[in-house]
Amino acid sequence: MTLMELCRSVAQWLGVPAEYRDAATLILLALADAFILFNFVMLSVLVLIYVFRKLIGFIQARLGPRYTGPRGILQTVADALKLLTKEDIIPLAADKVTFNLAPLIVFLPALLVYVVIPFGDPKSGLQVRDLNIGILYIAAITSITVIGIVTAGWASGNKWAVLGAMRSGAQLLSYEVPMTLAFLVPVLLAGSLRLSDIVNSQGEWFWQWNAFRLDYLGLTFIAFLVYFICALAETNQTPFDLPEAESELVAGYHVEYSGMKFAIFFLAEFGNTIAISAIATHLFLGGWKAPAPFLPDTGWWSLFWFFAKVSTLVFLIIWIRGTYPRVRIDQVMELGWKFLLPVGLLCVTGVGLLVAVRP
Amino acid sequence: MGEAIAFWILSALIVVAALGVVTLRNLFHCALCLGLVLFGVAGIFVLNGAEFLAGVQVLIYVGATLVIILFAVMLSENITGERIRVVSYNRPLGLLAALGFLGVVLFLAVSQTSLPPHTSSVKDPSLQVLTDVPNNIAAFGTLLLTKFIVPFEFASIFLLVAMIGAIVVARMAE
Amino acid sequence: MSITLTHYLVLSAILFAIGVYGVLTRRNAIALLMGVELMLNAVNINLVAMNRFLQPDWRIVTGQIFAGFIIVLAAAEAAVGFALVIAIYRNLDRINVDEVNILKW
Repeated sequence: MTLMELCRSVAQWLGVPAEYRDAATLILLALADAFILFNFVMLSVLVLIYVFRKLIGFIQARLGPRYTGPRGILQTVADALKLLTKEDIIPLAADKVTFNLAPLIVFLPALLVYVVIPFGDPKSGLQVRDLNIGILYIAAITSITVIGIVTAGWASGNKWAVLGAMRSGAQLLSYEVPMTLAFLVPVLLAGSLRLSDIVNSQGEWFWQWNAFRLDYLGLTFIAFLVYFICALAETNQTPFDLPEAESELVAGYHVEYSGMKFAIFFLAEFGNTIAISAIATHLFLGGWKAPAPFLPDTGWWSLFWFFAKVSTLVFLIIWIRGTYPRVRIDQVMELGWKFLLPVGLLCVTGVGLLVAVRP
Repeated sequence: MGEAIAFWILSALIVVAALGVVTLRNLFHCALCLGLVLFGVAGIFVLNGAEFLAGVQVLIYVGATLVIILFAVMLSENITGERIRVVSYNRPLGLLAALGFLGVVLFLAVSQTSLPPHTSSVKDPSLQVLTDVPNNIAAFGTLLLTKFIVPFEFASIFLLVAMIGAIVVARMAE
Repeated sequence: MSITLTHYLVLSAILFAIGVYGVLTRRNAIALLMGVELMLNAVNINLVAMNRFLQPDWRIVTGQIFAGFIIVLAAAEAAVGFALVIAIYRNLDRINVDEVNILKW
């Protein structure tokens, strides 16, 4: 039984009159989708934070969390409980309404991105909505995060927060441009903005995936690298974690936030980390497809392949975080505008020419 | 039915937020209200079958223009100084002009709605490229790069000029 | 009640009038430019709604393209406009448009 039929029978059971039943079904379906997505993001973030701390621990020759639960699995839960029970401090100089609003503006896009991301073969119903503007929707929704961050910095009424918000806003705005250019390469190859079309345009073997295919002179791989670097910058991951550079800015735009509101910023950041890995998987790494045509990739197997690829990318991000130092703000801007932007333009122009020339 | 519900919710959002933009005293709050208006307009675009335009609206207006506005607000306040209070002047005159304009336009909109439908069709030579486009996004792109290629190129040159101009003006003090 | 073209036209007219009020009554340059953005959005609603209701063929999206150009021009306008605002603020330390009354300094 699909979710749609379930919602229909729930609407029937609730006694909705027949002429409104379709509308009620759609509303129930939207609510159910939202509920599932929210829980998925929360659970995966919970797991990710634990894995993150363990891995960073191993990289730094420590053990990571150990004592809460077996092998420290419950550490994240304990931390979440601690943050929930903390006093919710609103500084005197803060602008109350916007101060409370800012974490929501940051968190909502992190959740909304998942609406178009297929978690497996959409034919098995593993996608919430297959929008025809899929990739444009992702670019648009993720660009909202900046507003939340700038609002948080401004509303705190603290000069470090404002400086952190300025830095962060400039960084996110700059890296959106090459990221959108990198989005264009798979779109050009698929001729569609729909995510399922983009995945289906990539071949069965792993060397036919957008990241590894050689028939476009390796430009697609360069586009993948551009996307990956921009994605690191967009989610404030090391080496681009300037907005929250502890040693220079206290903590950047969320310096005045405490308790649950602080936790929401971190939830959004980790949610975004998974989201960018999922987007990279679909655009460049063949989505839910198995690396070879003789391996099964239908039904639940597509879920497995999708999560295997996403986990690999997330591991890569954590690895980079444990390995590289932070760059300076001027280096960030130079990398974005003077290197990634021209390279992105080159990729789009090259792939566009090749697509136009080839039959 | 669905469209009616969505339309009334979106228009209520747009009108209330727009009133916030022009009446609130805190400039940052005005800018956030403007963000709500832009979102509402994107929703109106979706209702009218312009999904691509809605995405562009959010990406460019909310993601770029609004951020520029917020930056301008933050830069023109002293970094931790007092908030700017924006005051409205000549309120009665402004109200009179706006209401007068609204009256005329509403009269026209309500009384003269028997506008003739467009006569252009895909049989026209300049629109023949649209004969077998799969969806409205493809139609948008096709039309942009065939019939409207000159305005399109002009817009890109215009953007370049605006970008250089903005950089020059903003760095003039240095 | 089904939604017709008139509904969209009225919404657009109200939004435009609010924008006019903002432009006429505000003196702060940033608030003034925000009023202009409201008016541009009102125009876009008009264009897209007319394209849908008056053009029976969904493939001809001329109105949407026009609205797209307006979005592009509005972005350029915002970039230049706010660069000017910042430059004026830096040099004259004031942001109200009627206090900026010198052409040279």
